[in-house]
Amino acid sequence: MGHPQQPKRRVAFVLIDGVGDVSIPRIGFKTPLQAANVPNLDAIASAGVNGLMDPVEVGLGCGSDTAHLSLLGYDPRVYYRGRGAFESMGAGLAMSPGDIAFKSNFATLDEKTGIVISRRADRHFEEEGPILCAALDGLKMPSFPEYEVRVRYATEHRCGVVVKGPNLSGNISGTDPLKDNRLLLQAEALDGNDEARHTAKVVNELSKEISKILIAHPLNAKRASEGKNVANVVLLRGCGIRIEVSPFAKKHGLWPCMVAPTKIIAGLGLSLGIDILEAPGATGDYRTLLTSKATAIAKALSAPLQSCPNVFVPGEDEHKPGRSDGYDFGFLHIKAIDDAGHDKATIFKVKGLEAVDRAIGQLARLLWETESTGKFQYFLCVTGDHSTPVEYGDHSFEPVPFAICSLKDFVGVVGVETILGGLLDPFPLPTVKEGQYPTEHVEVEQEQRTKQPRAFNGDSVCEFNEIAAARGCLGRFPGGEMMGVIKNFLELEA
Amino acid sequence: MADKPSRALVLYGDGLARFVKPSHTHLHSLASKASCGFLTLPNAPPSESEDERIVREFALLLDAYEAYSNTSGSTTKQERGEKSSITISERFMGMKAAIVTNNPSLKSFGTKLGFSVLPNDGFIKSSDEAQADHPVDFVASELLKLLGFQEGKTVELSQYDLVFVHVEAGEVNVKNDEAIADDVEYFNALVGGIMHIGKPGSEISLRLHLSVVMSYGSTSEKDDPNLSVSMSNDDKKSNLSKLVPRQSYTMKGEVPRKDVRHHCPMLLAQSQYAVTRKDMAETFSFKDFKEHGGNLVIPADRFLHEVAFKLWKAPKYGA
Repeated sequence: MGHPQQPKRRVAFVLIDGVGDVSIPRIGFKTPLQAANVPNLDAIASAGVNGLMDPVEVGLGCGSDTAHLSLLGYDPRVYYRGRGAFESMGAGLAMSPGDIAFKSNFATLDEKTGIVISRRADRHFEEEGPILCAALDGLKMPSFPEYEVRVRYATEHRCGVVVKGPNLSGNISGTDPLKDNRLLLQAEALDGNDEARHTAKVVNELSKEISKILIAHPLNAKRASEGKNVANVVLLRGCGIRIEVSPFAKKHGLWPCMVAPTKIIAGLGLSLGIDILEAPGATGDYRTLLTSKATAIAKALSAPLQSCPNVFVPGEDEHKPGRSDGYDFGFLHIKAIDDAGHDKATIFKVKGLEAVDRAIGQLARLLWETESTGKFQYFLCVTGDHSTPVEYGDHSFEPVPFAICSLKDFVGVVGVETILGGLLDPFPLPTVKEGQYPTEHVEVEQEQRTKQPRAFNGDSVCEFNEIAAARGCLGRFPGGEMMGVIKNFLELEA
Repeated sequence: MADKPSRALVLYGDGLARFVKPSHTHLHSLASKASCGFLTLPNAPPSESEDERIVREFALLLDAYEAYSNTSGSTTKQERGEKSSITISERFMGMKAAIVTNNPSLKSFGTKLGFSVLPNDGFIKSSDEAQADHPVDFVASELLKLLGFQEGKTVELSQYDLVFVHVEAGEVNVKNDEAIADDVEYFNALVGGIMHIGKPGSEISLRLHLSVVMSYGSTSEKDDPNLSVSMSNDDKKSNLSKLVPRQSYTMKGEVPRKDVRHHCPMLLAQSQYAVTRKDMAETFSFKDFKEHGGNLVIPADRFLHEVAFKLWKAPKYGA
């Protein structure tokens, strides 16, 4: 983790969720990355080394969770146990390795027939939900006293439920019938293991005990008297177990932090022992302030010269201070580009990438100001977790571009004056109405794209996109190799 | 159309790659619109017959090597797991697949894998005198009909999701170099016929996922020193070579493959309107694919997984 006499080497890792795409006729058979004006992304490609990355394996369309595990050095085929625990931890539920969690709804059950009349007791449950969660939190199961139950309110009719204790399995079905007017289900083992069978029994008792408490709760009597649906059952679905892995810092020798308002990514980071930074205004959707993310990562990588942002602690209402000595690996997750892909918003994906590029310029400026002190040597790395072809509207298997460079070489490409002259004002993501930008508009902007005349350093690539990356010296590699590439690059540039 | 399942046509020129010439303009035209790259194979077992090679390499393209091993008797009973008897429909969410071939061994192997087997007679060798003037257009049209593309329209329900057309050296004429040249001419014309019917932007082009695969047949590294996908010696000397990670084509999951033939890979060009990438390759050649292709190198046994995904016959892994 750095020699005392040498500048500490630290990495700003920017993951653009769903960045990859295919050639789209309406933007001149270019990918959105090719069509976008992204001088900073191009400068990273130009200043460093490039390649194409298969997030998990060739030809495998993967989710963000499996892809992130793979990229961070944890083979999903070994460690992936479903998304439930990632979402619950990201939503604020404390989990230890081996604990299980559910995505859960307050719902209305016909106690006589066992039929779930409404899977959502009330969408406006912001006042009553936390009260009922407090009543359920810490409940005891008579047949299984060794288990601890934690319940935390999430949003609307949703809450998170965690069961802590020995010999649990995440491989069970839930109690949620998934449609109204169907029977409440019994949890069942999804494999032949004793742990799964045992866990199903625990969860079925948990479901009954939850209902007992809710039925007896005065809030439900009040709701019944007001003619409202009672919340007399919590539907349990999406069971997931917190994976047991070697923490990221131990595995890679780099202290990690992450900015990821997207709950499943934050939960995944927490599962790997990555601190989740507080970044006000970063929302993980189209309202996000990318500048806030860039600032949080820059501060975390600049500590102790700058104060480190606070970090999020599941199960706690308050944030706690971040690592006083700062972090070596700052993971900046950007969700909006993947959202654009899912929403089939082609022009927004192009314009959104340009906004990401602007935020990377801000990140580079903040880091360069710190690097100038001589205490730190920074590296910029950018890639994606999968392709989300925007006209398809979901994830696909195409490999994603990968680039890494030293900040010094990045500044060599764009120029010190450009870096220091960049504005640090927060800016919103662009508002784009599909059809607002005709094809010609994008093509004109494409002509204005700042082309690097040649590669500055590293390999011959001077643009960041799916096609140019194929000429990079890293070739086409699986995501499980990525951390090795990053660490080797840090050593090479030392 | 990017948001509907594709229907796939795979034109497989078995052993024809080294006979492609600049005059085969349809192949080059496809390459200039397509995503181009290589499919690597393992080394051939010693004393392999030509027929065995044909079936083995086809099996690899289908990621069905276990089934081939079972057939060829090169594995023990223990190694012949249940996987070898699983049909393509069972493996890929009910995929309906057909293979057009005249090779008896391939017919038998295709049947075993659950393919409908259609003889080339009637396709490549049209016995219909009335079609004699336009055999290639006729073949192209008939092939597309199998996928539910008729008269410029896409029929809602198609007979097949995937059609594999196997054209081997000596298919059109007897086996000698001149005859193989005829095969490539024919193959080139067939690609042209398909591309003509499925012009970019047409209704058919929105759903037709076209792959053109060409292999080198029997090979030896000594004979083909310039046909290697390995990094060049100049690249290896560079300081940057220390950074080069294990390549996707050398891995199966997280485990390095024990047997990878780095020379004479299959050449692959894939194209579907708004569904595939268009790279910088302009000609259908090893050299251009290596210097300008966008897909680089993948193992042949992952090919069908990619195609199946575009047919919505392979699930996403994770959330």
